[in-house]
Amino acid sequence: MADQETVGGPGQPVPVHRLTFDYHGNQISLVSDQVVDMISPPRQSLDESATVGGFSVIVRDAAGQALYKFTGPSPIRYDAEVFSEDPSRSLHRVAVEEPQGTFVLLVPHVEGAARIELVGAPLARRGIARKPRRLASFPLHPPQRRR
Amino acid sequence: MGTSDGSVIGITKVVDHGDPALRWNLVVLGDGYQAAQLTQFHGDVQNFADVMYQTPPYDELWCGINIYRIDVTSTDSGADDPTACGGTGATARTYFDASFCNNGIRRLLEVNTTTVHNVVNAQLPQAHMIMVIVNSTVYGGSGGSVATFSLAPNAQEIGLHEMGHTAFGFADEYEYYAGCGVDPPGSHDSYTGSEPGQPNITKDAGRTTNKWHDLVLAATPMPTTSNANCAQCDPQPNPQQPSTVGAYEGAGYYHCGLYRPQFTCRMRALGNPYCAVCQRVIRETIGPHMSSWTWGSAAIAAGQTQRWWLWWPTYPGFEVIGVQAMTPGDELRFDTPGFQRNPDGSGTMTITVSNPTAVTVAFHFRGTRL
Repeated sequence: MADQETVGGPGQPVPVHRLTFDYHGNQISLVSDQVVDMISPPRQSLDESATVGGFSVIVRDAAGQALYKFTGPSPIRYDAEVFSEDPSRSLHRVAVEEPQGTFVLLVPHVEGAARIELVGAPLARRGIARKPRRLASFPLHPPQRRR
Repeated sequence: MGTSDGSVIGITKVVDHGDPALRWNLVVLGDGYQAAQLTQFHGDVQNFADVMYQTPPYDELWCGINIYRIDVTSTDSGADDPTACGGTGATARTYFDASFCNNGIRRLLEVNTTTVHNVVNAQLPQAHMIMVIVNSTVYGGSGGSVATFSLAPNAQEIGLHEMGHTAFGFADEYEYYAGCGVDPPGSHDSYTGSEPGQPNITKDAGRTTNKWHDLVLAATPMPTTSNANCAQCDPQPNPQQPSTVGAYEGAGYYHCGLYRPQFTCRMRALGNPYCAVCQRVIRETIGPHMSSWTWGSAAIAAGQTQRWWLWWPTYPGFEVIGVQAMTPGDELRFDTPGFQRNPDGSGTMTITVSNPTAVTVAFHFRGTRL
């Protein structure tokens, strides 16, 4: 094992899109795009051939090539986590009757970025795994103002 | 009820480690606090900050974290608590419209997340994580883009669990959905989907291909546990030491086919520490928000000694966790022969790391190797 195998340095602020979305069921709308200077959010491999389930944010250029990708849990609440003081069952989930709400995604501005795509499993209720598909796509404008 | 039932007073940085453009920023708001109760809210935020500071690995990453408080007043104190769920029937006119009994479940305490995001977007657009403390002693909370919890004892655990989802992308590590023996038969027996994107669950228990295989000791069986009956939750006790990283079957709402890194974790049940895999992801996420030192993972060979140097520009308390052994069962020795506070308010420290064992030991570090 090498003496020092993994090293990260302090980050530098870069333009980051703070994207605020509203959703009602599977209908997702982009309500605001604030560009602020922040440390870049983490990024993952752009390899789209890997079959990785979850909710992905993908930034593409005008030709459709992926420039940034991050996969995590869905911010769209098809269910809700319920908490109990019973230590043997402190967590469980219930399906939400009418999924709706607001969520925010932080996405670094990447040179050449033209669109942002949201990919996930639609109406993946009751924790049942379903095949992800594109849920929404929005134009991503270059930063016009900084913090 | 809503924004006509109160007002936004302003934002205050309660844990200040510098420019929000550089740091990882947590914003805490309150709901159901009348103007005369804002001092209480300040104490409630400080209590959560204290809990977070005592929670590994946030303690060692503390210098990369800012915590902000946004003071918001409400006309009434508390939250709606409908009788339909066994509540008191109280109705409270509050800014974020906090209410128990969502989806017919009393403990499901929610606020209007659209209003919360509007306030945070206006006050601190560099926010990474948003929490709302509801001024009620009834146990409850909720997750999603805004973590919400009440003032009931231990409800802060809800905030720490939900932060795992929202800020770090963790999956739930429990193996049921509604509950063991509660889920419809066959609905959560065996996972057959693609590899989950979340870092703390996997369908791959292979010794060399598993997501967190580098944290698994050679003596640990892979998979570490298997569920003998996929029609139910696995009842077996932990056959390993609590800190043993492996591949334990049962996670992500499935009895079989998905594995978790340790027998238990805060993402599996409240009141537990984050597992080693979750802690590593938190370090990797907040690490770039630390100051001038480098960070990462390193290793020291048997019988060797290394010297490390740490510096913090202006932090008045100059607290350093420095290096932390991460290989279970192996012990490094640390000595701090040099510490000095500089005239400009900064501090420097040298740490000597020795490995008295017969094996190479890995550890996390923040600092510079001398």
